[in-house]
Amino acid sequence: MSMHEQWTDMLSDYLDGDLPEAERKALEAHLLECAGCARTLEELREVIDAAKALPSMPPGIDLWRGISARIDQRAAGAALRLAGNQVRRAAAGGPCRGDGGSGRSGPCGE
Amino acid sequence: VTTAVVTWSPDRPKTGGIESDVALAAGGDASAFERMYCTHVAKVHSLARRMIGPHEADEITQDVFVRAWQKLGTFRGDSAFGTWLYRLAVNVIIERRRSHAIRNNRMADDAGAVDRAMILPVRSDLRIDVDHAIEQLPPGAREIFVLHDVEGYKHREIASLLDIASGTSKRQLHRARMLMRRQLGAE
Repeated sequence: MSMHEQWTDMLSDYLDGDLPEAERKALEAHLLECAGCARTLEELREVIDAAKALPSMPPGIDLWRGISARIDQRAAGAALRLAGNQVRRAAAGGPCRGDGGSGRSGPCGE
Repeated sequence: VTTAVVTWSPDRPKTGGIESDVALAAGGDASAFERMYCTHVAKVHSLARRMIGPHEADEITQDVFVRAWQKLGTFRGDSAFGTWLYRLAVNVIIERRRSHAIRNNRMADDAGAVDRAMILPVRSDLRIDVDHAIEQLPPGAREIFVLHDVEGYKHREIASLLDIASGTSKRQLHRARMLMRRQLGAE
């Protein structure tokens, strides 16, 4: 491992606040003198910021139909074993309405 | 035997929030569970897509919600329902990854994937999509990057989930970040 790598290997711990104080001070002193490490630090910070900002995206197809069918099967099986229990049965074609049969529009509008 | 038909309409009235929906769903109300699905599906699907890949994200998402339906009775409300569900999702994803690793008879660390990631062309002229860059990470580093930097898990939590040492989690995270930096054209 090169001397340079010894410093860069400390950068993630530094960014996460996990570096012991003595090492943190030594790294900060090095960063004042090493433009390469300082640039790498900023680039790693950008990676972290980009990861934190990632949005959650819904699935491209309706997944509820498949889930509904599977939990309905289980509910029906339980009902057979426990007569008198409430049975939930999905309507034929699942819970979605108004999708024109395409299956592309789920209950959440995905 | 009572039969209830689950229907949906755009103007279906909302009920009393996620807490009551959890209670209703635990009692077998599929409509309440459907509302919970709508609230959480995007985050679960994104987690699956980023941790294991787009091709299996749909199937895993369905598995997560079916598992959640089965296990709702064990949810005690000690944490938010979302926290409970996402932890469940992480476990389902990790199980899937382990089964892949066994089937493919390869080590979880997948050194070959590291090599493949390292030789991908650096696109200094164009910042490629962050999600695409995550897909290029080797599986072990990828899981830890998503759990830590995207989902906000701590190293000790990741270590517990993945059955590894915290130090391993830290090293993999740093490696993932350095690879991401390279993939995003910083180097």
